[in-house]
Amino acid sequence: MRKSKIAHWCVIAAVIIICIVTLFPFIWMISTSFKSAEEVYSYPPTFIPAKKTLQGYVEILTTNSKSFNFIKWTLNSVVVAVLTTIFSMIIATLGGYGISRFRFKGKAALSYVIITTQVLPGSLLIVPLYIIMSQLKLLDTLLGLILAYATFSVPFCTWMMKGFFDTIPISLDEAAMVDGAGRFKVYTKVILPLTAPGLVATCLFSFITGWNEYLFASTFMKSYNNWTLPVGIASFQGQYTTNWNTIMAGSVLITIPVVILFLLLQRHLVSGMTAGAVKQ
Amino acid sequence: MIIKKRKRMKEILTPYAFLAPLLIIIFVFLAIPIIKAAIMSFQYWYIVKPSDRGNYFVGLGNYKAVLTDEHFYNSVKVTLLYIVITVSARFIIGFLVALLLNNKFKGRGIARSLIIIPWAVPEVVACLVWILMYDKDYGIINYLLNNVGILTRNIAYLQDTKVALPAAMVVNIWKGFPFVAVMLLAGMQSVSNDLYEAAEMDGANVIQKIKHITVPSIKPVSMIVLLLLVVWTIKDYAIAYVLTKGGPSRTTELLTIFVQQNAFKYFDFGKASASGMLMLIVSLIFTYVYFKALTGGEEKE
Repeated sequence: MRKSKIAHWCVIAAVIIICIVTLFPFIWMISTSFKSAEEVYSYPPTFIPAKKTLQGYVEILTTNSKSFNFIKWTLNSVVVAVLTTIFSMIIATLGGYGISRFRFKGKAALSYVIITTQVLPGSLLIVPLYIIMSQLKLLDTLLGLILAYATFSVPFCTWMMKGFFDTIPISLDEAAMVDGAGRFKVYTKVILPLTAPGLVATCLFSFITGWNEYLFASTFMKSYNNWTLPVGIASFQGQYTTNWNTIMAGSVLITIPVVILFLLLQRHLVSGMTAGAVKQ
Repeated sequence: MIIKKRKRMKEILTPYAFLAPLLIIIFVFLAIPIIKAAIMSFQYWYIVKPSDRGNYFVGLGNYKAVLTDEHFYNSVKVTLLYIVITVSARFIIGFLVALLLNNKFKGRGIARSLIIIPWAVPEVVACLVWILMYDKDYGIINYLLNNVGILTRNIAYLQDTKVALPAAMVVNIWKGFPFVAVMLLAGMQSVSNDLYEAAEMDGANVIQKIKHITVPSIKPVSMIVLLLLVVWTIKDYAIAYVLTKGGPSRTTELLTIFVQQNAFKYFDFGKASASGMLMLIVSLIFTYVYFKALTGGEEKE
């Protein structure tokens, strides 16, 4: 009994240490964001800002120059992430339901294609997409970026939604159809509402992917005005190296919404990702 | 008869009505670009010096250019090292953390939520924070390591050819292990407690319980996690790029960076496509294994 108590405390101690180490960069980001521009360069570094100031936040939110417009970038990021999500989800819910419920020719091939998209290197797709977008005059536009994100967002959302549809018994569809409802009605009125948690999870996952994406955004978006947050904030480094408190303030603002979404979502994330693999 | 036939037609067509938008998207946004990349990989696409013959076919010229480029082999080497080390490190650390979190203690839910945070932090932001922490002159890491006596002088982690790649790996591992921990923990928690209690009755110790109950229980999910880690790491771009831009002296130039730089720094779209196609082939082999693992898991049900 005593031995197990010691073990119990060892576990707790280990967990605390791991949490501290894991969270350290995150805490360091928050701490730096409240430092003054000078204090960032003090050595030894201070853990808790000696002089707490909102200077970094004020600077990032109010500076509006030709190459620096955080508010505009935030708007761009929101537009891109939201529209990518809406576009992908309309297609993915239909497709996911189709794959989950029907037997059809080429089902195995389609599943294979969808999984394949998970491993398609972005750097392979980016070259032809760049040329196609430039031919369509969509380079350096938010619409072009949204369409480019559809290449990975649609298949991924479809796969997650298929997993969620699989967890709903087919007998429910059948019962509704016996009652005289058509397929599409069954889908919109019975099955979709039942997957509400799955829908939310997939939406948020798609949103986060669009919010965080860097490779396509940094390659396609030429003008400052069209940048998304990751591109904008990455451009500070080098250009504004001296203002680490500003960069960290921007980083905190970008990160907080995503962290909150993740924490709200965590249970669904796991079930979504494992739906195809480990069924309870 | 006609009504019956019509009903049958409808039955056959319904699945395709649901699938049509998906199929169109896959065709337009995936098939066309991939086919285009495949064609471009056999064409002249050196944007800086446009030829009067347009994008003429050069046979295997681009592939030859890639395969005779020493930097390509450097990138293959860097990518392999990066995959092997970060995937195993993320997996092992994730597994150990999951084991810890699989114990019952107060605050377990909070600990699990906190551990997820690095996964949620956007890659670019993660890189910026680590750039700040890695700084030679005022970085916290040099300060801490000097204080504990591990270092005697400050290191410029991201500018030193010997240290840059490991430093980038650390960021990747830090950001990636929570995913493994959360997934494996989900697998572990699907095991009923009775099994552990029964094993305890039989006098099994902690190691035996882990070996005979926990490990087998997470085998299916581990397969998926490992393969996902590998294919995601092949595609990985932002971490190494934002941290070091592939440098110093190409010591962190992953294949994705090699492809991207060939296209958008040296403007040789043909060579970039050829190297991208080579990457795709390797990735496809992994996908095949991944798919087999997924469907294999389903068949067992």
